[in-house]
Amino acid sequence: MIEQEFAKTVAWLLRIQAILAALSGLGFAMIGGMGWALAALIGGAIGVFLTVLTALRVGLALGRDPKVMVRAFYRAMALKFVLAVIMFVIVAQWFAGYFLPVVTGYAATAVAYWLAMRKMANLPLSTSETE
Amino acid sequence: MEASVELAGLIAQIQANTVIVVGLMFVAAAIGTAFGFAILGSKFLESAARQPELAGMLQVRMFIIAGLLDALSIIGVAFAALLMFANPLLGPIQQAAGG
Repeated sequence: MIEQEFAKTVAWLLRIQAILAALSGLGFAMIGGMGWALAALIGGAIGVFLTVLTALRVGLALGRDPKVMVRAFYRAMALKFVLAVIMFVIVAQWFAGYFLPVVTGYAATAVAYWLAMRKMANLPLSTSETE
Repeated sequence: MEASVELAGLIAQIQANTVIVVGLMFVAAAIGTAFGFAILGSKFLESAARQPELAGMLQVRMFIIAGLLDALSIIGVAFAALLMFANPLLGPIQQAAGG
């Protein structure tokens, strides 16, 4: 049951992230043309990719012993951070002219987490969800 | 000759200040993330020990909060990477030197 809840939340999160990345791409297409739009979409794609990767790693440990869950969680977050740094270094080194739209695209995908948190805050914290 | 030495001095000054700022950005990102994840993990374990049946659900909520926690420090580190590898603050000096 909790696996389904997690999968549902992640699917919702990814959908919102894709929409926000597309919106930022559209915004930058109007401001700076196709190059900027593509850069914003790449930033969004980085955010979506990192979310998928983290969700897969966290999801695999779901429902196990809390110690295992926390270990898997920290490992997933460390991997996410390292991959993000590598990707942003690549972007900064070779696509420096498009850095602002890339970071904005990524930041747009981070907004999805705020929305997800707001959505989760409205859900009841009951044990029936875990059954 | 004198102008090129002055130019090199200006570039060195900007790069030195950039290095300090990049260091501060890394430190702030590391401290913020470390404290955030430490509190998040400890509270999760505390809650899971108190109510084990909620552990799965708390993990879902922890995932969402961790996404936010990570995102801000990643954006900071991304800007630090930009300053390190393609410093835009050197642009005006390079333009002045070229023109």
